[in-house]
Amino acid sequence: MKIGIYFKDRLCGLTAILLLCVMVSAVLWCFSVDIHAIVITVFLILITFGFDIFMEIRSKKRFLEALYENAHSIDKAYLVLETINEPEYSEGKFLYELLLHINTSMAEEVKNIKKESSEFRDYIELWIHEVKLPLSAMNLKLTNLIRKELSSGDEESAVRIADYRKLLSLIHVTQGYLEQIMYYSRLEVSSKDYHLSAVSVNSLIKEVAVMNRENVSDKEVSLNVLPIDTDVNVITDDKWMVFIIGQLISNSLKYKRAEDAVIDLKVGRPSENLVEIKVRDNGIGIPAADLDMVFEKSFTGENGRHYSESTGMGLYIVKTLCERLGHEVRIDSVQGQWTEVTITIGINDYLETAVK
Amino acid sequence: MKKILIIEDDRDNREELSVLLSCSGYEAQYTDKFDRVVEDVAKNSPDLVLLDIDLPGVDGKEILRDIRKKSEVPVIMVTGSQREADEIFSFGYGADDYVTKPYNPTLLLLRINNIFKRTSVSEDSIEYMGLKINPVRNTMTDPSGKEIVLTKNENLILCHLIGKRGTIVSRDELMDHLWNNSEFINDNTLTVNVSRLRAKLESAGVTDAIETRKGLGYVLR
Repeated sequence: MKIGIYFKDRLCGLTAILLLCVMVSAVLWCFSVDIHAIVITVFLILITFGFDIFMEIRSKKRFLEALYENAHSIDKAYLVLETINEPEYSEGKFLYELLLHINTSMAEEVKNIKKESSEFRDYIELWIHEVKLPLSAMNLKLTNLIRKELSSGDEESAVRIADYRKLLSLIHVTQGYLEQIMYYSRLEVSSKDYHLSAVSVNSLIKEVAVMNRENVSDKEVSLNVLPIDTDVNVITDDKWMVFIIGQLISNSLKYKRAEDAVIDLKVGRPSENLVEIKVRDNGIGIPAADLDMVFEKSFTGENGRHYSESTGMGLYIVKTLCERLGHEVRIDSVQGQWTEVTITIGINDYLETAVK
Repeated sequence: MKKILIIEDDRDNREELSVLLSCSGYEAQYTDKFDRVVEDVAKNSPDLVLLDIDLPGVDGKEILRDIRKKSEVPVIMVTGSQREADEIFSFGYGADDYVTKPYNPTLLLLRINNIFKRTSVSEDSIEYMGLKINPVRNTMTDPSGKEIVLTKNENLILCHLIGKRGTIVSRDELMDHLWNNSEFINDNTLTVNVSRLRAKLESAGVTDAIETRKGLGYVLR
């Protein structure tokens, strides 16, 4: 802050003082006072006012400068009042108390919103839990119905089984969306929820494959599971990874080509300290213009306009979860040919031993 | 017959699960009172317990801990929530497996089967129509003593069909079984595997062993 701004507001006062000096000099001159006495009088007037102005500017400057500097140097500017002392001059006191009041009212507001959002999140968690029960029962019921048809094995059984399978596949789709919202609702608080351990990458992709077997079969897509020759452990959360890779597979299924659709799920080792898990499909691909934005929240892009199932959330959640876990995620694609999502995980021997 | 005790508070899930288990050759029992579960386990002495974690008024993990004080019965925890802590505590208290709802019923059956295999002595060879099948060595021996080598897939399919001899086994079930054993084959490959297995059985003197039921699955004679 420049010293100039203090004088700018005081232009009137300063002019008045100068005017006073001129007038006093003029009056004293008229009474034929000695020139030395006039100079001393003017000097005394200026010293007196100058002292007053100096003291005022000094205390204001101290408070305002601290306020300004601190507010810009801390990342949470609303906490600035905690970093400075209450000023001693009354105008400053007034300002300080006012800011304190505004802060308190905002804190109250934020607290209410946080409470609401946390209550909402709790409710969502509970709700997801509740919805899982009937879904799970439907899943069992349909499986039982299919088994019943299999044991009777008459002419119409095949037709009914086909219907039940269709219903089962719809339940699987619903389950996928349910998982998505569960992870989304946990995104903001999820730091408390993950559990890192040493996970074998080959076992991981095999588990993903088994969990997604029905989804892949329902869509008549071939899934090639390509583990790495020498299995390796990485430090990650296996549940999260199963979900993340599952999301990538469900994307590949959504945007598959009409015939001979294939998804490769493979593990690579680009260097000694890195492991890559890749999901590559031969689907419709992503336009180059959209490629940089697919990880953004709610971005659906050109493909989104043609497919009603695009929510724009899947890859956003994938990216956020990967960042939490410290993994890198990257997407490459050629429109009309293929899409490949790569998750890169660092291998850290020290961490590995620490976890063990 | 192996006895399985279901401890689950949701009625629909409990009943459907009990139907599933009954149809799969187990004796299923369930309870709707959750304050005396440990006593129930002691009284009925089941071979396996399916235990829900979120029960009204009690915590499934506590029940597990109490069960473990008295008994070594295999316990599979079933839960609707995906809290990490639940899983860690469950294994800490001595659970044998942990399944989250909604689960794939076929995979649950395979897991139950795995536990029983783990707890009982596994058979060296299986008899079928005069053939001796050796699942560990991936071979079968015909009555004259000639050994025929099976691929891992053929072996898995044959053993699963023998286990369900006389009933229709759906392609889905076979696929689940194969995938669960890290054989990630697609629909066409399954068809090819079954016809190759059929040919091998024929060469061993067992003709028309596997019958195809269109739209349903396969039956082993």
